[in-house]
Amino acid sequence: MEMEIPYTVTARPDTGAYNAKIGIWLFLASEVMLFGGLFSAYIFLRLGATHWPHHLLNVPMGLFNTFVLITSSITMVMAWTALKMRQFQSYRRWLGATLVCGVVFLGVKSMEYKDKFHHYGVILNNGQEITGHLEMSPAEARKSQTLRILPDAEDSGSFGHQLQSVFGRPAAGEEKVLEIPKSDIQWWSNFTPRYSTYLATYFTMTGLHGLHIIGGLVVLGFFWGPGAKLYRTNPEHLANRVEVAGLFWHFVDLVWIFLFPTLYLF
Amino acid sequence: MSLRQFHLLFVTIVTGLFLGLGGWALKGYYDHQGGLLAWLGAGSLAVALLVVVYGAWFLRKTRRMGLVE
Repeated sequence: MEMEIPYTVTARPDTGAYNAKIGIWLFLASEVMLFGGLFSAYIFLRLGATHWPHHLLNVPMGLFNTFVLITSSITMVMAWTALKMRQFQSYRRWLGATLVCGVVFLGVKSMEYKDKFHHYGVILNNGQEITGHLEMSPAEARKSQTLRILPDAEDSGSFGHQLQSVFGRPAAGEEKVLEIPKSDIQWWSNFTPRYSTYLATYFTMTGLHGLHIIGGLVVLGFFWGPGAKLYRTNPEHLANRVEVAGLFWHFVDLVWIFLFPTLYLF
Repeated sequence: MSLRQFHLLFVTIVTGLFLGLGGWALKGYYDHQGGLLAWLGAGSLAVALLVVVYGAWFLRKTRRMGLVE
């Protein structure tokens, strides 16, 4: 005899919520603690730092990604309402749009990461920091006794300069390629987590957030594809599952809404 | 909390984000960091207003659909 699991569609009378909703909120509570811990660590590291970089991240790109994720939350909730209205084709379209937004977000984020990996910083023996792009391959730079680096323009942190750099490398202006002997260099590296505490926290927080986006895309992809078969037998059960996935997706988007100003603006 | 309620909370926080972004951009403009920031500031405040309008539309739509818990 087959036994049916209770409260997958209707709410439990004592909690007022169906099983999956209780489960997702318990999970999201643990996620709040995870990201809350990271945000707390960021605040304390920043308060304790003698030097904290500003305008290192590309605000126009971050802003574009913010719009993409906000749009994805809207399409997500539209997919759920379409399912509640039993409009299956509309549900597939809205959920498909959410998937596209998630993929676009990851694409832009990977461009940002690539840009950081090609950006270099040099600490001279006198403590001065020079940042810019190598005018030689990283392999050459490792072997050579001299580093050839095109320093960042004076206004490289400005919104206008960052906007130009989205569409290609902006004109360097009066800047000239510097040839720095390795004997004058204390330390040099590209902008990876080891470069500074700021970049370490940036990659940790955005990397973890990116993993959440990938996880969300897997779940949403399932409900767009094979998981959508449930609609034929129990549409309300599918609507509940999509609602739970939507709650996770909204949470992940909400984390970005806090990450963007924290890391990009202030 | 249902997805509808969480979405409304999300819309409220997004409104706050764009108000904050507008303030950040206008402050940058007054600190002479480029005219583009004035456009960003004005645009952000306009988006904040649009988000409020969307939130009200979503609230009405879901009420009409009977999705209120």
